[in-house]
Amino acid sequence: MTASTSPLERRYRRWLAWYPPSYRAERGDEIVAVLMEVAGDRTGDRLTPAEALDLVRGGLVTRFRARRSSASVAAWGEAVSVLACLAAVLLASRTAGYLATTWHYVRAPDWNSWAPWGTFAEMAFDSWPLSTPWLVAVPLLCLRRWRLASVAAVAAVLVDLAGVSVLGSGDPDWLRNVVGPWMLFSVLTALVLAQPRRAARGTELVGPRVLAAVFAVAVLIQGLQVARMQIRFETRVAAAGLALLGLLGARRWLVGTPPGRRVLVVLTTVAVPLAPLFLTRIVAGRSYIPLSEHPRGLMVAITLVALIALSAAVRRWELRRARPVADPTPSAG
Amino acid sequence: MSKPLQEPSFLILTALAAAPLHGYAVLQDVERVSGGRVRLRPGTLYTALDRLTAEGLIEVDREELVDGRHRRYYRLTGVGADVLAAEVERLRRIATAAARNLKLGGLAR
Repeated sequence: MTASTSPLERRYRRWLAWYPPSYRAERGDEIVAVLMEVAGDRTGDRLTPAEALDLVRGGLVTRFRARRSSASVAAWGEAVSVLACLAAVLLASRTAGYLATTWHYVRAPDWNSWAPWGTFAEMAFDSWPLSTPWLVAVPLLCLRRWRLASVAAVAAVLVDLAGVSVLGSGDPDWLRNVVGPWMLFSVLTALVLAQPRRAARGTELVGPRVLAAVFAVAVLIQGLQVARMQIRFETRVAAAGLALLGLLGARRWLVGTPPGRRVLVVLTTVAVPLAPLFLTRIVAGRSYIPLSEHPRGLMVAITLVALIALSAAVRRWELRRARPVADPTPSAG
Repeated sequence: MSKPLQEPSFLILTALAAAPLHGYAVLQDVERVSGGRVRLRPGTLYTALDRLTAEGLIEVDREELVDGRHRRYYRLTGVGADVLAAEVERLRRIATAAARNLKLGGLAR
């Protein structure tokens, strides 16, 4: 801006304050040039109400759009895609456990031990079709067949809904404590993976081979639990150890990239309230504690507070690392 | 099938189809093409230009300084040309159907 700037131009620049500073730095002169050309030979140094409204609207839309398309939001999108792929693996391995339990029960109907994931063998026998499409969805993800994987994810939820309506009416306790939480988890996962673009991005970020390896290990652990007839301390330690090894192997991505940091935030957030519960189970020697005995309200509160606090901390840390943008707000006018 | 373009987007892409233009020239061309019916304001124009750039339909061609004023020229991308062509075809089909129906109804002038 020069010393010969007209009063009208100074006013235009003042109204451009509605736009984000970085946007003004890049496009301010260009927009002012167009505004001045549109104004032409108009006398007077004030904006018309329509001009003012147009700049306010444009500024607000640009601010909203900048926030929505910010790197942080994009990183959260990628993190959600990755987490949905990992959740699909967990759901598929759990389904494999159900099927193995059913198979065990068919071979030895007198077997009445607690089966994996806190389900009576008879219940597993009754409800074996639940979630089976997840067993198809995960291999499809590994084979990069995104659209078919999306269809399988939606099918898993539909099969669960149909199964629960048939099986769950007689046992509301089973419905509330066993199926309910997993069903919610399944629905949330399917909501993400129903979008082939997200399924593709999540799998590519994890790596199809890594996803296949995690799936194989998860199924192996399920098989081990069924073979031992119940969830044992050593299988849990083995699962926790393998998960820790996986996290250590992916530490560069988890710490060094924006989506990785967000995945880490969510995993930590989930682990904060769940870890003491699992420890309680191990110490109490109980393989299954009904959901009604869990301090659910406290768990939700801890999870939310941890998620908000960790997300804000990561965002602040990233902003501190980023180079600050100079504010070109005009001094004159 | 892609979503139909909003009228300002369609008119801006139309303006840029012939040659790269700067912001003010786009405003003038939109007004001319629409027969004076659509008069975009600069704030609206730049909101639309940003959106079209983000969607990969247009891109910056070059920058100039004219009489001490900053000018940035925009041009249509290949994707933008395809989207515009598809929209022209869609509108042409609708117009053809409308004309045919008017003729069938004996209302054509």
